[in-house]
Amino acid sequence: MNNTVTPGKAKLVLNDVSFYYGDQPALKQINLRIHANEIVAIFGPAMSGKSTLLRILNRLSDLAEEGRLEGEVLLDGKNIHDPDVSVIQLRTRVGIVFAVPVPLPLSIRENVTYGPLLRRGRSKGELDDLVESSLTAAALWDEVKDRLPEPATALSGGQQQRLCLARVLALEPEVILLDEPCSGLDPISTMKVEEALLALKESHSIVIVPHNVQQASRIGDKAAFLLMGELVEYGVAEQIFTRPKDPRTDDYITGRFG
Amino acid sequence: MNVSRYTMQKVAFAIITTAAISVVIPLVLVIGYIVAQGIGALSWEFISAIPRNGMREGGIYPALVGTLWLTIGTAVTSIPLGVGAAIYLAEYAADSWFTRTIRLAIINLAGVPSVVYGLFGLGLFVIFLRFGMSILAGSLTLGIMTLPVIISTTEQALVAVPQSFRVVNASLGGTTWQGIRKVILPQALPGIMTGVILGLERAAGETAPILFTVAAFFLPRLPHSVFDQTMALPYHLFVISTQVPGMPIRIQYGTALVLMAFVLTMNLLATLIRRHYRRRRQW
Repeated sequence: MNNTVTPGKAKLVLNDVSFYYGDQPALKQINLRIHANEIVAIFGPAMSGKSTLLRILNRLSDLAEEGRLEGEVLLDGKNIHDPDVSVIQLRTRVGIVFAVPVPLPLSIRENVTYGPLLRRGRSKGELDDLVESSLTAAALWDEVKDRLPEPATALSGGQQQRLCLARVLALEPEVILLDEPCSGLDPISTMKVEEALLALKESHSIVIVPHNVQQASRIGDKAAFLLMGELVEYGVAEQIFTRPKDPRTDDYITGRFG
Repeated sequence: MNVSRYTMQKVAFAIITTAAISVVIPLVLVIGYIVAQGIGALSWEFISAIPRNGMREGGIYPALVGTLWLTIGTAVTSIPLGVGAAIYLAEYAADSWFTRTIRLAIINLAGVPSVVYGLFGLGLFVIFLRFGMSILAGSLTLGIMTLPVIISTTEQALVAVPQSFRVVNASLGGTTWQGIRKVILPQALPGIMTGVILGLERAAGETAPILFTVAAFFLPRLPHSVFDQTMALPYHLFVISTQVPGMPIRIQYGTALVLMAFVLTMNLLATLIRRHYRRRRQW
């Protein structure tokens, strides 16, 4: 495996991570280093383990029945499966946005404040600020600022997706995971989400499963090519998309299979 | 025989339509007959006065109040236990021999004849726990009988809430309990309330479980406490229909009409709640 390792301290490190659903391996011996302030795009054909990889990073994979993990995942050098790590706290540090937006059956505002209110008491003023800053960062504030008490389900699909991003940003996470966040979106909504992500990169680590190779190359600083649970190639995105080292990566990005 | 499949289709359709319509007929007949026979007995005095002259005159006030108390008592005993058990089964319990045993117990509880509940209540609450024939003993007996209905409808209402809400709650750092309290339970509440009301309605109309545990043959006053006996509508109806010679028929049917109205009102309430929330539901 060709693993271009950027020097410096990594935010997230995966050491020999494998994941099984029952006897079926979904990920095989993944080694990956993700740094702060960069967007890592994980791409590959369906069933290659991309979503599983994301869910391991904030231990949502714990919810999978008969799921089994091998290897270790380090966040700031600390194994996230250590007994003294609170999975609740981990999930606020590593937030995730799903492919299909699931607004909770609450108002727009309550969706954004849901995560913060789970943790500790906050003044209304603080919450107001958090709602505005989160929605602004998710490029949704201007569209919803006058209708915050309305049900979140009244929003369009693209707006719901950005609301789900805002909901995660309100957790004030360090790492943001996005699982095909633009799969159901029109090009304009997609552009808005991508712009939001590029701005968020300044203060977060972002791991995204893009919905196609083009998106991976547009916004990824690094790119990882997964194939049948195997990490085929990982490195600087530009290089992977122009001069891939592995012939399988080349075949995939040039559309010879997929 | 060579009947075309289109003819067969028509015949089948006619048969199942007839079946559907005939289901309604008994209900209409029962309600119509009781209303026709009983409406003449209804008056303010009938529902607000105590029975007189060996129950042949006066009203049914103590029985009506008794049934009201028993319904409330049943609610108090069965709702916390039933809803709690359902939350455990739907949200926490893994599939194990333990939970399978609980489910099996609930299914069997639903199949126990109501008169057996009455006997059980007599043995446990009235005699062993020394509650005597009392509203407490009757409510507990009816409560246990109602549990399976409440548990199964509550569990169904919880399971019907999309799994994705639970995942979102977890992904935002919520505990399972926070997810239940903030999202799952509010969404399931209309379904739970419907089930609870339907369960209570059944309890309100039962005779056998209260026969040995609370119901008084003739007690022309209101109960003073939960340790008091009381008259109750279903048992009162049984008494005046079979045990009192020279009973005017209109009083029997008037009593039946009040009992039926009581139960159907609860039914209507459940329907209205369900309709109201279903319109507001967002998934």
